[in-house]
Amino acid sequence: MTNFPRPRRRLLAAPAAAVAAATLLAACSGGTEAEETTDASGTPAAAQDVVFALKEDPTCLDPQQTSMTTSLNIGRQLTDSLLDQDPETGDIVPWLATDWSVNDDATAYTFTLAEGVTFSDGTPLTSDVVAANFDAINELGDAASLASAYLAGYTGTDVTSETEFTVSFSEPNVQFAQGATTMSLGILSADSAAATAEERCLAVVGTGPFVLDDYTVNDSVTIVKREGYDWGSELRGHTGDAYLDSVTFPIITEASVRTGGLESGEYDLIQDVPYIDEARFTNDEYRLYAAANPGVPNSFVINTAHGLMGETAVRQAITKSLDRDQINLLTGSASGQAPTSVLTSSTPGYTDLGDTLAYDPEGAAALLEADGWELGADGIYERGGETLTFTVTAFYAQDVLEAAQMQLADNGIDMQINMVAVGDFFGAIATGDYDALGAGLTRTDPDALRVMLSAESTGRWGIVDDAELEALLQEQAATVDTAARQAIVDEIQQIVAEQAYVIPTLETVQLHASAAAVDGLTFDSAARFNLYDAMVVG
Amino acid sequence: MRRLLNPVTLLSALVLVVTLIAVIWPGLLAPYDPFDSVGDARLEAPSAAHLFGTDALARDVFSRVVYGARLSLLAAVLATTAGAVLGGLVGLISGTAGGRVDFAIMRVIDVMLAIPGILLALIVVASLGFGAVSIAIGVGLGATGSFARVMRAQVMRIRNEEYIEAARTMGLRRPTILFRHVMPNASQPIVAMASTELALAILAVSALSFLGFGAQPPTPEWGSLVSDGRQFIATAPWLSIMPGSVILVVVLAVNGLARNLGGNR
Repeated sequence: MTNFPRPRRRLLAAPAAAVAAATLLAACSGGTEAEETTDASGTPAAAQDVVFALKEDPTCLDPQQTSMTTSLNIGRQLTDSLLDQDPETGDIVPWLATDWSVNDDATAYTFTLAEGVTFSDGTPLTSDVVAANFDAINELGDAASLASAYLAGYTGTDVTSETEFTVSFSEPNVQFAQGATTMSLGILSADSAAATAEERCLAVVGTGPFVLDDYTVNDSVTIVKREGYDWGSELRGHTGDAYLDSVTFPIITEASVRTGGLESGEYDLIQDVPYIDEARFTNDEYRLYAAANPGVPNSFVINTAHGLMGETAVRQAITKSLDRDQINLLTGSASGQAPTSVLTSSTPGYTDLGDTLAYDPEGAAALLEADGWELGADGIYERGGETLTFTVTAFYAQDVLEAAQMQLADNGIDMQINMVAVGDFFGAIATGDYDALGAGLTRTDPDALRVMLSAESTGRWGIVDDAELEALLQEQAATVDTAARQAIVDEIQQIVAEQAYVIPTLETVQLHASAAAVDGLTFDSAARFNLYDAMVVG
Repeated sequence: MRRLLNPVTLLSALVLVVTLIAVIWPGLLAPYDPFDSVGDARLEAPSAAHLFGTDALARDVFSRVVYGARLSLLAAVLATTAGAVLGGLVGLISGTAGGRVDFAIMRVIDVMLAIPGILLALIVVASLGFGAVSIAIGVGLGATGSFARVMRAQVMRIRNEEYIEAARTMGLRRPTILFRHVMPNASQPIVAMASTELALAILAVSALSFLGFGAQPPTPEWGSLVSDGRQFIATAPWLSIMPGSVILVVVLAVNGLARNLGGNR
C-alpha cells in the first residue's frame, strides 16, 4: 500500500488552480457554520454537514483499484468489508460476515454473511455478489494492485448458499483475513463489480454508511448519509445511520490554504497538517489526530543490482551513518519516533532493532576503510578513482531526504536526490533503473516486507538476491501459527536491517486536524479515518 | 556624468555589483555552508547571526540565497541572450527579405506573441525536462517574439536609408550589407530592450523554479527557496519573504540601471 504522507510540494501548475478552487468552494460552503447552533456538548448539533479539505485529488474513488491513501479514505466511507480489525489489539472481528473460519493450511476461508444488508442501489448483499467482487479483482490484476496482493493465489469463490461461501487459494494465504478488513476488499454492488475499471473510478456503489453524491475531478467530492444503515461492526461507537448528513471534500493541494481555512472556519476538518503546524492546532479550539503509519517506514529501498548498492559494506555504512533521531527531530512529527526496525513500531510483528539501526559513524568508517575506501580531498570516500555516491529516487518527503543527505555528506557518503513525478517514480520501478527508492509501504501486517522485497511480488521495490530471505518471506506468508510466524518475522527483520536491504529513515505520522466541534473521528489499524461515528457537537 | 550620479543608478549599480560577487564568488558573501545545517537552530527568525533566519533543516537561508544567485541569474542572462540573438536574427531576415517571407515569419511571431511567455516557457520546460538550462531556453523562446518585432521595425527603417542605397550601388553583396551596415545600426534598441527584458527574465526564471521545474534539491534557486518556504508561511514567513525580497530588489536594480543608462536617450 503506497503511502502518500506528504506529497511532493512542488506540483506543476496545480497550486494556482487549487487556490482558485479553494476560494470558490469556500464561498459555497459558507452556510454550514452559521447553522451549527446547538450548544449541548456531546450531543449532535442541528446541522450535521462538514467540510473536510483533502490534500490531493483522489483520482479514482474505487477502493479496490486505488493505492492512494486519500482515495482509500473516501472509499472506506462508501463501502464495508467482510471483517474489521481492532486498531488497538489487531484482533479481527466480524462485519459484513457474521462468522468466518479458516482451514489448517490457510488455503480456504469460509464466511457467513449478515442478513438484511443492502447496497445503496437497493440490491441485497449475497454470496454471489461477493464472489463477483473477488473474481473482478482477480481479473483487474495489477490495476487493483493492493486488492490483488491480498488475494494472492486466488483460485475462486465457492458459493454454497445465499449467505455462505468459501474463498480458496492455491497456496497458503495467512494475511487474507487482515486484507479482508481493508477497504481494498470493500464489497461493491453487482453492477459496480461488473462495470469497467474506468467507470468504477468515477462512481462506486457499496453498502457503506455514506453514499457518493458528487465527484468533480480536481475540485471536490461530496458524500451523503445512507438512510437505513444498520450493519456497522462491533468496533463502531453507535448503531444505525451515520450522524453526519453530508461531508464535502474540497481538494486543496496547498497545505497553508488548508491550515488557514481551518483557522478561518472554512473547513471543519483538514487532511495532512504539516508537522511544523502541530503547535498551532494544539489547543482547545482544535483537535489534532496523529496516527502513525504501520508497515515499512519511510526508507531507502535498495536495488542491489544497481551501482554500488550491491556492496554490503556500502549499504551498511549508509545505514550506520544515519542519525535517525535527528532526522525525526528535523522533519518528523512531535508525536512520532525514530524508526527502530524495518517495520514501524505500530506494526504487528515489529521487533526492536534499535541497536542495529543506531547511529555509528565510526563503525561506518571502519567498514568502508576495510573495503578499500579512502576519504578524498572533498571529504567524500573514494576507491581507485570511484566516488562513493548513490541516488535516491522519490516523489515525496523531500525534507527527509535532504536531512539524510546532510548526515551522509558529513560521514563521507555522497547521496544524490532525484525528485520525480509520481508517474516517473513507478516508471523507474518498472525499468529497475534506480539505486534506491525513497518511500514507505503502509500495511498492518509484516507481510509488507514480502510485498516489497520478494522476487515473486507484483509490488517488488527492493531488488535483493538472497535465497535465505526469499524462503523466509514465503514461509511467513504460509505459517498459520502466530508464535511460529512471529519467530520467522523476527528473523526477516534482522536480516533486512543488518544487510541494509531497506534503510529506514522516518516513521511517518499522518496528522489531521479538525475544529473542536467535530467529535468522533476514528482511525483504523492503517491510520485511515472512519467518519461513521463523527458528529458536529455544540 | 550627471546620469551616473543619479542616486537610483548608484544604488542599482551597487546592488548589481554585490549580486555579481554572489554569482562569481559566493563563498565571499555566504557566512555558512548552504548545504549543511548549523546545529539544531531550525526555523530561527532573522538575527545578526543568521540575516535571513534558518530553514526547517537548520540551514542558513542567507547563505542559500547567495549560492542560489548563480543558477537563477545565469539562467536569466542565458534566456535573455538567447531571446535577443534568436529574435534579432528572425527580425533581420524578416525585415530584409520582405514580401511573402516577411509575411509568413511575422504571422508565426504573432502566434508566439499571442501565447503568454510564461506559458510558452512551461510548455518548453515540460517537454525538455527539468533544470536551469531548459528553463533558460523556455524563457528565452518566450521573449523571442518581441525581440523579432523590434528588430524588424529597425531593419525596415534602415534599409531605405541613403547609406544602404550607396552600399548597394557600390556593388556590395547582400549578406555584407546586412551584417556590416544594417545590423550594427539596428541593434542598439535591441540592447536597450535586452536590459529591461533581463529583469523580466529573472522573474520568469524564478517563477518556473518556484513551480518546481528547477534544479534537484538541495541545490538552491531563488524561486525554489520561496517555494520551499511556502509550507511554513504561517509559522516562519521569512523563509519565503527573504528570498522573495531579494528577487524584488535585484529586479528593481536591473530595471533602474536599464532605464537610467539605456532608456532615456
